[in-house]
Formats: sequence, C-alpha cells, structure tokens
Amino acid sequence: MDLKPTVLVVDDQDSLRMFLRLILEHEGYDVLEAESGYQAIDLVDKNTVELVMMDVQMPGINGVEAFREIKKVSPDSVTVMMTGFAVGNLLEEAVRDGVHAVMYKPFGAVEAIDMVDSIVGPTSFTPQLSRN
Amino acid sequence: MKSLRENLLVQFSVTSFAIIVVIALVISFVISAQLERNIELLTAHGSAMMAGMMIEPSASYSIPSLTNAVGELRLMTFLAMGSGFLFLYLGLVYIVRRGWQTIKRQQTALRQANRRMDAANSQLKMANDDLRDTQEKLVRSERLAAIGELSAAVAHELRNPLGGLSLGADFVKMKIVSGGFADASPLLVPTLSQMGSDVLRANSIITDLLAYARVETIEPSSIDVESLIDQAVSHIELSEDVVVVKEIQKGMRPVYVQVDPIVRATMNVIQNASDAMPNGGTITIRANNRSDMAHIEISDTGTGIPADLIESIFEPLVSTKTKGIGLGLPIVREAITRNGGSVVVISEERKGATFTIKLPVALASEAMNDQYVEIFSDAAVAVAV
Repeated sequence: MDLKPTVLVVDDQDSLRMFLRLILEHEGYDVLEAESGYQAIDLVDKNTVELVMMDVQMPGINGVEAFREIKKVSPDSVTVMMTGFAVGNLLEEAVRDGVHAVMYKPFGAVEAIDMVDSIVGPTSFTPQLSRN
Repeated sequence: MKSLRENLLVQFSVTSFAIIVVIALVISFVISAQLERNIELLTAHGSAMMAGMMIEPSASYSIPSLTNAVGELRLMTFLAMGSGFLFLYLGLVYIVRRGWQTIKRQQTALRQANRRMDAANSQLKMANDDLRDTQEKLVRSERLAAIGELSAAVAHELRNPLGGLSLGADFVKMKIVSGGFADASPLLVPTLSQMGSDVLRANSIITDLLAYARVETIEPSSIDVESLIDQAVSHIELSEDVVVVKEIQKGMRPVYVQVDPIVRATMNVIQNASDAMPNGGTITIRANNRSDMAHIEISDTGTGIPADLIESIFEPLVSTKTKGIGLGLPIVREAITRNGGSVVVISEERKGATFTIKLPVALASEAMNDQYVEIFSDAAVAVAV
C-alpha cells in the first residue's frame, strides 16, 4: 500500500499546475497533473487518486462535468473545485452532487495545504483507499 | 412702402401732366379753329379768283397768307406730335417705375426668404448636433453594457495568473523557510520565470480589454496596401515551417485608414492563421482593388473553424484557445468597421480559413475620405461554408 496519498491537479493553466505540484510534493504528497477534464478522467481510471483538485473553467468539458465522470469511475475519491469566479448554479449543483469544497482563486500555499491536509493528510479521517 | 416724397412727386407729375394736356388741348383747339377759318378764306378767295372776280382787301377781313396757314399747321402738328411723345414718355416712365418697384419688392421678398432659410438651417444644424450627441451616447452605453459583460470574464481570467503568482511566491518562501533553498535552486529559476509570464499574461488581458473599450481618436491617413501588409508580417514571429506567400495587384490604390489599429488588426488575423497551423503550412495573402475598396484575403491551410463556432467568432468571449478571453477578433472587427471597411471569414473544418478584409480606398480629397468612412461603416459578417 502506498503511504503517500495521490493528489490529482486538473487545470489548463500551466503555472497553477506547476506550483501546486511543487508545493504539495514539498509537503509529502504524490502529485499527478492533468490539463483537461478528459485527461483527468483518464488518469483517475488508470491510477488510484485520493483527492482531485479541479479547475472549473476549462476548454472541452468543464470541471463539474469532469467531476461527475470521475465519480462514476472512482466513487471514493474526493473532489475540490477551484475557480476564479462564482459561476452561479453550476457550483451549487456540483456541491449537491458531492463536491467536497470550493476554493476561490487566487489562493496561497497555506490555504491549499490546509485543504489537502484536511482531506487526505495524516490527521484527516478519510480512510486510505486500497489499490485495485 | 412709398415715402411721402415719392407720393408728392407722383401727385405733382400727374397734376402737371393733366395741366399740360389741358393747355395743349385748348391751344390746339384755338389754333385749329383759326386754321379752319383761314382755309375757308383761302378757298373762298381761290374760288373768287377762278370766277374772275377781284376782291378788294377791306377792314372786315384780311387775306391770310399761305405762310400763316402753314405756320399754324406746323404748330398743330408740333402740338399733336409733342403730346403724343409726351404721352409715350410718361407711359414709359410709368411702366419702368412699376417694373422697378416690382423688382424691389421681389428683392425684399427674396431677402426675407433667405433670412428664414438661414434660421431654419441653423435650427437644423442644432438638431443634427443633438442627434449626433444622442447617437454617441447610445453607442457608448452599448459599449458600457458590453464592457460590463466583459468585466466579469476579465475578472475571472485575471485570477488565473494571479493564482499562479500567489502560489509561486509561496513556494519560494516555503523553500527558503524550510532551509531547502540550496537543493530547490534548480526549481527556483523556472518558478520565477513562470511567475514573470503570469504577470505578462495578466497584462495582455488588460490590454485587450482596454483596446476593445477605448474610443480610438487616431487620425486616418493614406497608406500603401503592400506597405500595410509588410508592416503586419514583419511584426509577427512566425515559426520556420510557416510560409507566407504574397500576391499583391500591381499599382494598387492606397487605402485611407487609421494606420496603427489596422496594422494591428491585420497582424492579429495573420497570427491566427499561423496558430491554426501548429505543424506548419502556407499563409497566402492576396490583395487587389475592387470598385472603391481594397480587398485583402488572408488564407491558411490550418485546422479551420468549426461550423458551430463560426457564426459567433467575431463576438467577444468566444475563443478556441485555452488561454485568453477571446477579444482578438472582436477588436479586429471593431478596428476595421470603424474605418469604413468590413471583415468576413469563410472556413471549413480541417481545410483552413480565409479572412477577407475590405478597406476604403483613398479618394481625391481629405473631406471626401472622411465622408466616405462615415457613410460606409458596415457590420462584419461571418459566413459558414
């Protein structure tokens, strides 16, 4: 079993993915990156991902649609949405469908680390997923 | 309006004329009576001589000389002709006066009409100015509404690079604080570079918005079409596997436009063409004159524009790219139509796209150029194949 939880960062913006990865790796997490909703679904299908940090506004399918697909593939994974703009009903629906939280950009490292720690950190109550 | 003096003059002329006529009549009557008597006497004398009688002059009558009769006749003729001429003269004077008065009256009427027209004209001008102001206000409020819509999109877009900057700065701080500065140094340079590009990206979003929102007041001028195209091409960095082919009609007439915005618009279209061919290709730029417009066609052999996107491609916030808020083409259309031209795109997916930019040709006079641009500011049309 893997001791380090895997976090999937999904965002079409290169710098955001890069920095989140560097920060979370520094904190001891395994990080996977996806540029689009489709890539994210693919990665969740092929890997064990405990936490998904999902951007909302992306080309192709948006973050909420991707979340719904991921839930089908990996129902135990937790998803947190990231957005720069409250997109009205979209986020409400997402939360109702099971999104764990919404983070508003721009956020800093502390906020990101706190969020990840609370979900998959050593002191969180989320059970570790077993490998398929 | 007749003056008092004129009235008196008229009265005087009429009265004196009447008196003269009366006197002439009286004189001619008297003289004709005398003449008649003299002719009778001559006739009587003549008949008596023919009858062989001799008539002794007496105190009761004298033999009038022929000269007397002739003299009297002459006087009569003079009086008759004189009166006649006097009549004629006075008649002419009367006619001329009346004519002159009519002319003067008409002149006054014309002057009044002229004054009325000037007044109406200046009122029309004021109304026109008012209308212009209203139109400008309307256009501006439409823009403001559009800007309101854009602001939302811009706000969102700006938060992305800001998010990157925030995390980047935090990462550098984290590394310094945890003392892992030394071993993280290969990461720090890319980190800082990435933060730098985030700043540039944020700035370009703001620049796009400003360009779209601003009312350009640059003066238009004449520019050679080939020169315009060359300027646009020279300012773009094209990848090596993109070839640009120019087919420009010889002796093309120059166009009359705001040079910088139109060059930038052309640059944008050519850049799009290049972006549509990530694996290289050919951009063909054709230019010729048709009626009073210069036609510039920019074709590429790239991915083309999907049919469901092409209808709205000149609307703001539509983009096929992952980054940016899709203000490039709206700005292009705005710049071109503001200068009295139009832009059209024809495209088929996977077969490339052709943008046709029409610009007004420079006319003989500056004033005519400005009027033309005002009249023919068209809307852009996107055509799906």
